[in-house]
Amino acid sequence: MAAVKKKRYLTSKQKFGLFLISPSIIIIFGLMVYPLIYSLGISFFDLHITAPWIGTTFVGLKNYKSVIVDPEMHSALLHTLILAAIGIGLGIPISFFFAVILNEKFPLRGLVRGILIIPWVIPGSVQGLLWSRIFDSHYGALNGILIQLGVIQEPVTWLLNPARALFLIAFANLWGAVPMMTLLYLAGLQSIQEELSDACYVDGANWWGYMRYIVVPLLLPITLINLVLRTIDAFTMFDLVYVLTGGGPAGATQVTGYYLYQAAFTKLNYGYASALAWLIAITVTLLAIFYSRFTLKGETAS
Amino acid sequence: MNIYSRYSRGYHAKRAFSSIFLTIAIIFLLFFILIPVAWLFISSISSSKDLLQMPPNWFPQLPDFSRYKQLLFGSAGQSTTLTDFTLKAFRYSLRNSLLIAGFVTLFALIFGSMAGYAFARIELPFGNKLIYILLITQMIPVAVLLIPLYIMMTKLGMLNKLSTVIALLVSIHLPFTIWMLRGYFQTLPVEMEEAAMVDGANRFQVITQVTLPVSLPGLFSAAAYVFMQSWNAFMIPLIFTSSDTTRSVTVAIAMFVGRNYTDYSLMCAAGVLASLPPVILAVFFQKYLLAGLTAGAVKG
Repeated sequence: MAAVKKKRYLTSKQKFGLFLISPSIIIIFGLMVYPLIYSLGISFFDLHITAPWIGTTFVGLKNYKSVIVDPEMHSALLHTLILAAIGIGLGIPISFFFAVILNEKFPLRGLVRGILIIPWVIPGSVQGLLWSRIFDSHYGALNGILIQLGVIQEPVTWLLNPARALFLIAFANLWGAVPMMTLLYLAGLQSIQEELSDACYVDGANWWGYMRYIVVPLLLPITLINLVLRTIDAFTMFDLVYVLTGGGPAGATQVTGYYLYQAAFTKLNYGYASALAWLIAITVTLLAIFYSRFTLKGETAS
Repeated sequence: MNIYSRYSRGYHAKRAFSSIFLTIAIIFLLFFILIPVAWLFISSISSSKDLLQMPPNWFPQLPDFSRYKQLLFGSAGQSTTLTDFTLKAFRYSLRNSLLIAGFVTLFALIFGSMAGYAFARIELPFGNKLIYILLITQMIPVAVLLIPLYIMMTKLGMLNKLSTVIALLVSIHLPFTIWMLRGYFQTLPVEMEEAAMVDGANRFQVITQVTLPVSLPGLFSAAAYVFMQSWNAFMIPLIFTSSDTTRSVTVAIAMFVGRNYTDYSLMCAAGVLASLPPVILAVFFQKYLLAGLTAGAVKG
């Protein structure tokens, strides 16, 4: 930034800079900032898309109230929280474990890391297809394995069973999410200096002590990122539910992200859906703030 | 057993795990990741008979790649569930995804590098405020924007057009691209550009002939990441396109599953084809893709 301070060609340089940023600013303001404000506006109106002769009516906070008291929304929220809890409760330990393993030196480590990122890059709808072939209630691979192992005699229902569907979605989601979480932890582990572990061992600590008192606290910011990403992911989950269950059976896999899509683009209830979208955004932001208070509490000393 | 005593083939002086534990853990990891993908691939080269029995034939005797040929070049023939029309629509969708991902990457990189350079090198009026807005836009859930965007595009008569999908995906990926490239440009020594200026190059020449050539790794990271993300985009193509000729391949796959075709091998072959570009990026350009990932996740 040193050159910036020179006053010699500041004005023409700034003009040049404005020229450089103008396409991006036009695109971002036109397709993100303006729609954002527009969306907030819509959430206070009833647009009557299905009955356009009524016109647009201002309804104040009615849409927000309808979202908050909607029983279907309550069940979607519950399912979303279960998804988030599974994603966090299983995802964080598994990915931390994978990262610790991948941080060790072993032959073909690069290849294993390359394989690890595959689930992250496979499109969500293909992941849906893939799990639909595994969880199929007639000829699915899961039934095949269980029959071959003698656990079950006859094929059982998976995604068609309301008691199981949500957990299968959670597992499928976890599979797609673990690579990214692992890579973030791995990047964190690699940034911890080797001297630190040496010093720790010299002081008489064992491996558990090193993990407990050095690694886990140092990786708290990464845990925070993973917590936030898992939460955002659970609240905006869409592709897998769209392909695998469509929110069924009997609403058992209805989640906020899919419910929002249905409210907006199936029921065409734009006002309600906009209010819902804002409530989701606010909830996720509040949760992120809560996590950061919670995880970084002990960090202030350092 | 203390940790100093665990040596293993001289790879590492000290190790937290025994080799046996490590091996088991790595095998578990590989199984966890690979089995679902492997089953998708095996299904795509199996015969219907292999798949429509319980338990299925896990390893087909003769790998049958005919589905790939059929999807890319063939006709439906005697099939009762599949039509030439469906095959044609699938080919359209592959072409569309290629166009979408290609143009989104191109535009995001052109506009992103211009703005990223300006934010890195030039003190702009309201520059800091604009960067702040950029960061906020990156945190907005796309879902909030979809309804107003849909209304806007309906009014403009822009629904069901590839250009609309491209424009929307550019806007979504632009803040990240600017942020990432700004960070990259900031790591480059400014003296290099000043020297070129002294030598009589104008600002435009400085950027195209001095800055951009040395920024290729950063540009490539951003490109790999944006290409992968826009190839994989699902919700935006789903909502903004509705015809067989404008659909993206991710949406086409979802339609395949939804229509309950029983030709599972064909469906799986389509899924493998749809995953190939991002998987190739991941395998061959892992380093660049991961640079994009860390920049995207940590800053986002």
